[in-house]
Amino acid sequence: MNGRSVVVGIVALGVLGLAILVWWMRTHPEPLPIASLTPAPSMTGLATQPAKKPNIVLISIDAVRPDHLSCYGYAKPTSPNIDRVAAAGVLFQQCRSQAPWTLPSHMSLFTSMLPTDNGVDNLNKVLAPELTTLAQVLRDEGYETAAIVNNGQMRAHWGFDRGFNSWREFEADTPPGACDQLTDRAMEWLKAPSKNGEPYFLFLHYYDAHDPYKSPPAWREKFHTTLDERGARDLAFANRTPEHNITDPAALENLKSAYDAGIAWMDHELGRLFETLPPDTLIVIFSDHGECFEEHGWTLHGATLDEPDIRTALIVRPPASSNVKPARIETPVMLMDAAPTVLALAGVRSHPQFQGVDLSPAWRGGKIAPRLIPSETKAVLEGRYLLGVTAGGVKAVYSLFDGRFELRKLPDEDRDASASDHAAEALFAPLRQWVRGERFWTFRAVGKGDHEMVLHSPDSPLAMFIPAGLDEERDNLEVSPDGRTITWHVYPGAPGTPGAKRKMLLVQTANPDAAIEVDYKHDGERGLGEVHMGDAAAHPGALPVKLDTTLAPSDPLILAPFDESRPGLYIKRHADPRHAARASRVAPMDDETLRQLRSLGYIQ
Amino acid sequence: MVTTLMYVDPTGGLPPPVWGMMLAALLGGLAALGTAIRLWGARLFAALRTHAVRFVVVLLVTLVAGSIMGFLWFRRPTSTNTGATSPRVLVLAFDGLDPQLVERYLADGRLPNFARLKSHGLYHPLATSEPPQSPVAWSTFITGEPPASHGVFDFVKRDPKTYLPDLSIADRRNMTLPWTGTPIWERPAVARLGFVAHRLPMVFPPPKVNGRVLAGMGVWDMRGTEGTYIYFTTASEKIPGARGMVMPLTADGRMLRGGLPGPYRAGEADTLREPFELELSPDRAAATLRLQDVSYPLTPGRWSDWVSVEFRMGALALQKAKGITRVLLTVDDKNISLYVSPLQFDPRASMYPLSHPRSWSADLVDAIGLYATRGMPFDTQAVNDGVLSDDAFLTQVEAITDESERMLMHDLPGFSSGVLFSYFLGSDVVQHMFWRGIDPESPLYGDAETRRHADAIPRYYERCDAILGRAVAAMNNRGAVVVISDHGFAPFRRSAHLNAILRDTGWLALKEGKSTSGELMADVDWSKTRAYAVGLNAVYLNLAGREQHGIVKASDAASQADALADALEQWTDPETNARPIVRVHRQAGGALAPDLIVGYVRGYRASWETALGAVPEKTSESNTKKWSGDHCIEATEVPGVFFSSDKSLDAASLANVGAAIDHYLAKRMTGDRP
Ligand SMILES: [Zn+2]
Repeated sequence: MNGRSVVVGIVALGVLGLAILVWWMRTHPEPLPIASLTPAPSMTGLATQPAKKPNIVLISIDAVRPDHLSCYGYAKPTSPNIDRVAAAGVLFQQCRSQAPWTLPSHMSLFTSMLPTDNGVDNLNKVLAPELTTLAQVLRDEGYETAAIVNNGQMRAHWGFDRGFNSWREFEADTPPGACDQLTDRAMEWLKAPSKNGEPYFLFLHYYDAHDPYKSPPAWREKFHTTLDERGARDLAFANRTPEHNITDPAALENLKSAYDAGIAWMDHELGRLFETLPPDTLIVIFSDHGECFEEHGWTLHGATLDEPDIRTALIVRPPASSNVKPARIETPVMLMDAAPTVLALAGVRSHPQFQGVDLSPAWRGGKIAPRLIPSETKAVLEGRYLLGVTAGGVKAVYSLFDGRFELRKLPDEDRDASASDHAAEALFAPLRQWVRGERFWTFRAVGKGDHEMVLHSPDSPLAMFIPAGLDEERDNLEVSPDGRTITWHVYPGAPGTPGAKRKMLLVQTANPDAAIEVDYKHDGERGLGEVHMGDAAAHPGALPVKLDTTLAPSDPLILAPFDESRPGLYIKRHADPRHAARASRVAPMDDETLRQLRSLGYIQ
Repeated sequence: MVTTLMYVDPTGGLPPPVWGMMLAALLGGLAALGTAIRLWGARLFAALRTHAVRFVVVLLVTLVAGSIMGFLWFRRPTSTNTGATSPRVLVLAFDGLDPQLVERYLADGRLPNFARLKSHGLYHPLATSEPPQSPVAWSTFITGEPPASHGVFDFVKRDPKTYLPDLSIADRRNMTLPWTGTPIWERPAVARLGFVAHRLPMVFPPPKVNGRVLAGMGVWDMRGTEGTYIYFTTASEKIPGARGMVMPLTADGRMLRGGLPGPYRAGEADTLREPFELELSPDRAAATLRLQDVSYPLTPGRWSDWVSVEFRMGALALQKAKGITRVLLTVDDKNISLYVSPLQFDPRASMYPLSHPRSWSADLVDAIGLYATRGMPFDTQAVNDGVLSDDAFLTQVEAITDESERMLMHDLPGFSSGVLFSYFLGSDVVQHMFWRGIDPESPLYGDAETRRHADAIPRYYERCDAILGRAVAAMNNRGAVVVISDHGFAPFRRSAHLNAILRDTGWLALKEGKSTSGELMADVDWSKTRAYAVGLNAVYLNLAGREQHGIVKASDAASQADALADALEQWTDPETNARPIVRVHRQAGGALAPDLIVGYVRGYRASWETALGAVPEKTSESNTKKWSGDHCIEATEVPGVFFSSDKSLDAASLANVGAAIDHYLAKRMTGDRP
């Protein structure tokens, strides 16, 4: 046998082996062709789409105002770990929230919709089933989705759990809800082998910077505050409104330090988390709103659209493999942009519902077109109803209970800002349009003595009620547990006399055109002549009176809310027939919501 | 670009046993080499030294040949037509395909591909659901269960607390699927092998499946209805009873203007309008439609291409709703009209998910172009109302059938295993609208327009046959082809006003001084009413504890239902002396279920008025509408059809089709061939 025949023999053996293989495979159909029907990812419009979908960790640092983070220029070292993430990613210098309190701000971020538009602008309303959240979109794209949250106002009840395979709520202001335990749980989840090779989307909600500014003694010492959580809460709440102020600079500094200590503790715990996250993780850190420290007379958050209330942190750290150069972006952006940006970085087609824009062009040499940045607050507790827009360094705010438009120059919010008629109109026109799309009732009590109104909504639950000018000591507002009856008991005082205060109540029913029944007593007496209905100030034939859409509507744009001096109750139905009425989604109040409303003092 | 390769398993790879075989082959080769060296070592190496060049050449040739063979082999499963080795079943669903007509056209030789399928495989009529309505029947196909289990009983359901009717083809209040049960895509073999469906009825919002699903019947239009057309006209005359929106077209010389109505929800102000301009050419033989800075050329009498529109909504107009439609311009001596087909969600940017995965509805546009997304995308109402001609309607049917066929032919090459379900609703609507052309007893049979389209039905059957032919060719004898319909068809010559019959037989009472009632049971006296009809086959007892003002005691329900069934079966049409109700069935299934399902004889059907709970004066009348064929009668009168290319895949009833398909796949998955 020569070499050639050996080689031929080897080749023959090889061919035989391959033949056996071919035969075997033909007679054994693929046992697991499940994935043979998996479509390729969308190829449209996403030139820079990564080959593999990145893991995503979205972190809410509740109530952190950006100028108290070192990476945003704060003098104290509150955030070394967040700083490191920011240094490797993209930091947005000017991000604004769509609402200065937790529930509407987060819902706005998750739906990328203005609170007024997604309907969750108030504690009473829940997300309508036809709306889609970021988590739903990601889950539909194959993401394993999980959330670990503080239940302050992040609760499944409002629809936040939608789209999350795993949703875990922990009691805010208790050890299980604190940053150290939250980080432990997040790390446990990250280690758990349940994700079947799917990319994951993990949402974490850290609550430690939120009042009552609770942190371990070591952190309080480090930031030189003498306030524990009780002391901080008492000081902040006692000086909540512009009528009461912390005048001692040292006391104010002490309060800020307590806040800073909470941020620093949380940052420290975030540091443990960041260490475990692989570099190819997309990390997005945001705060839902800021916190006020007497800049304009307020403490805490939620009652104003001032910069301390609505400026937020937004930091995007794209996966390392996408080779993004670290950047600081000056262009004004908003929290509604977070969801479209996350989707773009995940290579997922955006959702037509989303009102924000993909921000990635900002760090890829592109431009974000100038836009109006809207914010709103319908603050039950503080009796405020504010709509605002920011553009071109100017902010316009409409205050419904004052019937007032304001123009403010940024960044210091100089109230005496002036602008050309044209520029002012560009901001005021959308605000007018916005409020005219709303439907609600207003009730105003005028004159000395004791005014008691009982409002009952037989056909539709109440979707919103905001009492303005409520005096904690004397006045009272009670809502029945079924959410259909309000008792409003106020002492406005004679107009122009010392101590007189404007008393107004705004009510919206879930079906904004539903009928309501109103009973009214002034100093314990029913007086038909003291009830003034509509712009014509007609009197009812009897009390209680049933009111419906036959009452001629008044303009929802209120410009002079208190021009009457005759005592009595003024009732108006505010509706603009040129605008579509929006029905609200109101869920029956569960025990937890009742508990929260009770804690706000509304339900006895 | 979408290519067939997009369906290749991206995670790729061979199953572990195959890797084992390859390893074994490699080890075998090495062992053989080792043995050769041991036996003839010295000579081998001597030979290698002398023939080194040749050896290297042969080695290289072997490697290259092996690589090519390997490449060809591993490409096979991903290539078109010939590659699939896994079991697969193509289901072609032609809604309403009727066995009597199929058999007639088979005998006439008009359906060669159906004939071939029948001769190589099998064919028989297919028992359908009771009642034989599409939403009920397709829910039965999906779940394999009768209505009492899946919970869809009629096109229309009612709320016992308000007596108000609502459509049962989608649950828009809760955004959940309208039926309950285990769907075909969760059957073991189907779930493993994959499920792809085009325009599947009753799956809105689309469920998560191992595969893809595009929702069909159940997807609403932009106004939240099954289809509200908009008819712009310069004419001032009213169109009595028009079901669409008739809106003004204001003329200024050759320039006409109107406002396209936007999304709307019941109870809210209907104020959203997008202005458009229509400019006629001087000879009036052409026009240009201008909408949102886009110009569309129009020719009178012809459907336009797709027209896109974006509505802005919300507090600051940040909400966008994108829609698509086709328009049809009519110009005559007196008037100019622009017919706008119901606005549909744009599949590229739909507010609601139209498919699973969500992005598939958009990817499909890249593959086959824009397509109708409304669940029932045919403008039958407009034809009935006389604002759309038979010609225009048939052109629309043709276009939408083309879309379905393009979807099918696009997905067939990549269809490697499991189930591919392709749905055609055209067969249903063509029979509804053109039965008058094949039914000599129809009052419209001799009508000139009817005669012109007398062959519309047989031509659509031929169209189905052509689709079948192309699909079978693409399947290339690998896997089974099944053709089903959910029900057959019958003439609809007379309407029974069931609520008027209930009134005259003493089961339904009207308010004092009333002898009739409008829709929604407006003038029914519930305190004296024992039974009422809402929907096309359903009758409900006014049951105490269930209905808001129920008077029939639960203990009497059974005997009352039996008595009512007898009364209905005995009822005689005073005008024809016929007995229109052949059988009344008792229905179980909970508070939302009807108590009785009324089975009409061929030729009769419940009146439109009955469906929405009206009580007219007369108990019956002739049907003079173009909607002249129907199937909402006794189920045994209108079975569907069943064809299968494989005799081992058979099902006697629609409820069994899913199980039969799963069984067929399961047997082949384990390699157990009959
Ligand atoms: Zn918050």
